[in-house]
Amino acid sequence: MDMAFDALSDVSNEALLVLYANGDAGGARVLTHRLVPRILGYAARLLADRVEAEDVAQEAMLRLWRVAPEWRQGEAMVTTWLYRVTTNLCIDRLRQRRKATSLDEAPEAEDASPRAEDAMIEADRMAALNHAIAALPDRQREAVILRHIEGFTNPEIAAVMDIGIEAVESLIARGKRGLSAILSDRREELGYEDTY
Amino acid sequence: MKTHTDTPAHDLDDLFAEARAAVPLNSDLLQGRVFADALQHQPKLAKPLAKTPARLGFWRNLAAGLGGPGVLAGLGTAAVAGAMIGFVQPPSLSAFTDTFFAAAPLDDLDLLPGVDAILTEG
Repeated sequence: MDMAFDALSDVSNEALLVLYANGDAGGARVLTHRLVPRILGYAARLLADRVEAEDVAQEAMLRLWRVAPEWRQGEAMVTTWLYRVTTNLCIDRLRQRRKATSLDEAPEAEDASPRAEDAMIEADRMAALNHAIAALPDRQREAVILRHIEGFTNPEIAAVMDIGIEAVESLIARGKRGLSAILSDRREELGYEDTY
Repeated sequence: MKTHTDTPAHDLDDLFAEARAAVPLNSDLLQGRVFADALQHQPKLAKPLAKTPARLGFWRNLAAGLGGPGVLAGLGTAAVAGAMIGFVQPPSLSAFTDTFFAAAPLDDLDLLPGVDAILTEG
């Protein structure tokens, strides 16, 4: 018999996955509610494409369901595993996108000025940030998003990206410098006064 | 090194804080699809092994041959009762049996007549 949604709200992701593997659909329901919005937001930032982000999130969760019977508690965290899968799926999509772009006729360069004008509105500050994040190299973008938006610690990011902690620190530092440079032209648009 | 045109770190941190606080993307429909996937791929619990018929032992075979365990129990009870009666020889029962065997004592009964008796009687 499936456990009630509320009764599972305090249960860890790992225990929920084991519950699901043991035939309790309630575990999947809570995991879906808990994890899908997070990885959808993460994938959307990495890909800058909502539709593709949904495909990636669904595929990542599907892989989680498939791995559930072999999941061993204590060996890995569900979030770390899921973000790693999501990251890899996004990287694959970005590579395919670049390959398709290089094979096809190069599209017209997108004019940045309308985006800059949009970003002048306070409500579009997030659009400006997302635009700047999208302009970062892939690995820097992943590290910056995981650290400063998803709230992961550096060791957790190292596990997700399968690199060392020092490499994570370096990627974050370079990513932030890159963002800072990209956004510097829009300081006034973002509502900041030049105080120095 | 920070240049004049760089965005100060605290401005960037403000933007990150706003991004963290932003309402997450609506994912209700996606959640429905993901949960449907979960149900479709949910591992099925292993079915309990089919109960194999237990091997019949000697007594089970014997009971089956005689008509069931009830018959075997009855036979066993009768055998034990007969042995006890023969051993104890209760007086009331002895008096009863004596009326049958008084005329022909058991020691006179010839269950296996010899060749001589056969020849004598022709």
